[in-house]
Amino acid sequence: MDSTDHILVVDDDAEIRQLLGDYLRKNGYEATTVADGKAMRTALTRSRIDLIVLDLMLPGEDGLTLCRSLRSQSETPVIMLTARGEETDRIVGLEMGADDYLAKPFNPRELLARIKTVLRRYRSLPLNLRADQARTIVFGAWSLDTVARHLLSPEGVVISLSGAEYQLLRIFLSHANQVLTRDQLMLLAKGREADPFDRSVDLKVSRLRHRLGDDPAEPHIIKTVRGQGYVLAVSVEMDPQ
Amino acid sequence: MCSPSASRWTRNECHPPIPLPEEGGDCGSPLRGSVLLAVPALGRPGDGHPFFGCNGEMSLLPKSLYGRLVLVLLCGLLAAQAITLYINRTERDQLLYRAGGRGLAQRMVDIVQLLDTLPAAERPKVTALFRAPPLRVSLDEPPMADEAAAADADFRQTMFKTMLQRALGNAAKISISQVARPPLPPAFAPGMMGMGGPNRLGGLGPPPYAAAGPSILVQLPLGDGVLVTFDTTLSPQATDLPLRLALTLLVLLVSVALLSLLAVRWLTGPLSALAQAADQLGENINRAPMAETGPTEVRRAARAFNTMQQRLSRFISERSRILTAMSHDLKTPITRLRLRAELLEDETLRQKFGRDLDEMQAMVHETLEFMRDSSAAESVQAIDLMALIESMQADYRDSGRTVAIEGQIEGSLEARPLAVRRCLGNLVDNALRYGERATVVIDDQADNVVLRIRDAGPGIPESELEQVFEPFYRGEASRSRETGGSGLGLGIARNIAHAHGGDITLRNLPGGGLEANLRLPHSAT
Repeated sequence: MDSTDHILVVDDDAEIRQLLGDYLRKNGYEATTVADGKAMRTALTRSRIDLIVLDLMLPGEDGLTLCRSLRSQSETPVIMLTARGEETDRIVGLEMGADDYLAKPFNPRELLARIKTVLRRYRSLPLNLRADQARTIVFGAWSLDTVARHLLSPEGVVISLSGAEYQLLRIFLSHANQVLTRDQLMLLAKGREADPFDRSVDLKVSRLRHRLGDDPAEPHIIKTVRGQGYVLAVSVEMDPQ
Repeated sequence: MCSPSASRWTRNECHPPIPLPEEGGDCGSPLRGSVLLAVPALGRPGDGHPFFGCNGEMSLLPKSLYGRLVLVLLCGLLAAQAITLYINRTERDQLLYRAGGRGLAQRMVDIVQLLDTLPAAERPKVTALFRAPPLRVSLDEPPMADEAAAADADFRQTMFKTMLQRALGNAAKISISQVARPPLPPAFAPGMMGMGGPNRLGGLGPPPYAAAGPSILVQLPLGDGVLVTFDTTLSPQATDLPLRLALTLLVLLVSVALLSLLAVRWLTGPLSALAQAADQLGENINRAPMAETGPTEVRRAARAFNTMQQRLSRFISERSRILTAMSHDLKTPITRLRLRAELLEDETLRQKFGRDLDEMQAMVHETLEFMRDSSAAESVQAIDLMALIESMQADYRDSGRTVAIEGQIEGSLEARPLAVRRCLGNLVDNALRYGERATVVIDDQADNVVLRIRDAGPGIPESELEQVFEPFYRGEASRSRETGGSGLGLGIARNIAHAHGGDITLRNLPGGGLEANLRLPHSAT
């Protein structure tokens, strides 16, 4: 971080607003806090904002509407906060263009970590590598449910994925037919570069292939590109429903 | 919107259970269940007290309404038949017999008087007329002893003798003796007036000869001292009556049994429907109301049941709403507290706050989870259980915890994927929390998949194996408070299992450690 990142907090609860502002400032950020959408727009025109922490439940224009209108105008990353914590909220939030999502009551340290990750991803990756906004992603004969976070096999059977497997698959799906190096995969997954001796990426790919029933000797879905990395070799279709 | 699983609600509290006859100890009865033809068991209704039911070890009271109705009807029937039999034997039979006997005696007296008026030379001609059954008369038999005078004489012989005596006059010397030869066919037997012979019963009756009365010889003196000997057969006593009665009874028993079956099925149909409705209520508090049809009493019961269901449903949803709203509203203050705690300078204090807040947050989260109707949120799908368990294992491994898997399951299971994952996750978390390491043993059975989640912990006291499923239950050891459990994990897991038509039970392993037994049917209900 060359300069101090400026976080805009939009929350109708005055105390949370103030406490969050104090907490962010204490942790080295510049923070502006506002109560509603109108004030948010004013704040956005007044100064450079690096990231918005947006409460879903707001009087007047709610967080979702704000997020969508914001997306149409700017690239500023958004982390959505909600008190509901239900899966539908998460997917709707992500569909409306939020970069991440956190349920109240959240651990403030978790929020800090998310802010860091989102900012880093925003800065280090091209635009098309940002969050996908589809409920179902169809690839080949398979489909991935991004809400339930599980696969649907060609036979229609639900195949569960571990957190790491899901994350890796999302990365592949966002970069279909692009060769991804281990470093890129690691960076996309963890926000850090791969240790040259770290074989965990290979292990995860092999587990993911196992889930997809992909023969490791002759894989059809995730292929190995010798000396370079891996590539998802099927067509991908986003199905936002 | 959120309702606690109704199965929890019916399982616990609130009323003491209505004592059911089934629960009343061992009331073993030959009529247990739906006995179709209770005849053999009812063959001895006299022994014991069939209506006193379950007192002590003596109990013959049937468990089903059908059995009881049959018992009552049959007891009454048997009593009526016994009385009828008594009357038959003592009065009717004797009357009939006497009437038959009197006719025979009168005939003999008439013949004697006729022979008396004839000269000796004419008599054989007349007797020749009577040489055929049922009455043979001869004049050349030697004198014989009078068996009817003996102390142990057959009552029929003495009675017959008395009748003859009365017709002839007291002075006459009469000898009667039994003949040891097959008696005459009963069709010829005199005095069968209206009784019907055993032949009428066709093949079911006893052989005709056996049922005919005894053959006897009667010797009467004529005025000139000549002995007239009659060879005849007495009217059969009603020796066939018990057999006929038994058959009649059998027909009655069968009809009573069948009629009772029909009547009870007809009358208790609504009762079964009510029982079924009550069972379903345990599974789903919002089930469709009962049809309010049928007889008045049934309609009233159905209406009362529906009203009860409505009240329960309202009560539960109200309670759920309050709890859900409270839990939601706690989120904002907890968020504030979290932020405030982070701003504290004192590191130790901040950590303590953090732990308390973690606990509060877990409680709020799990309460909401518990109140959530998982079956409403998710649809049943075919899931690859092996992939689910393996992916969970990978997640635990990534967070530095070891979960071992034993066994395998082929194919898929009909279930709600996220709910099953949450259910299994809670059980594995529990095992890891109290038992350090967890092993999932997969046992794929015909109708169910059984997952045994074992840990290496100290287990829990036998008395608490069921209680730990109750919300916020704190055992004596109160271990969950120290280790961060909210006290809802097992309850949530069990609710999910129940919603799938399965169950969870706990047991202590012989070698130490606790085993949670998660049973899931291959097809969720």
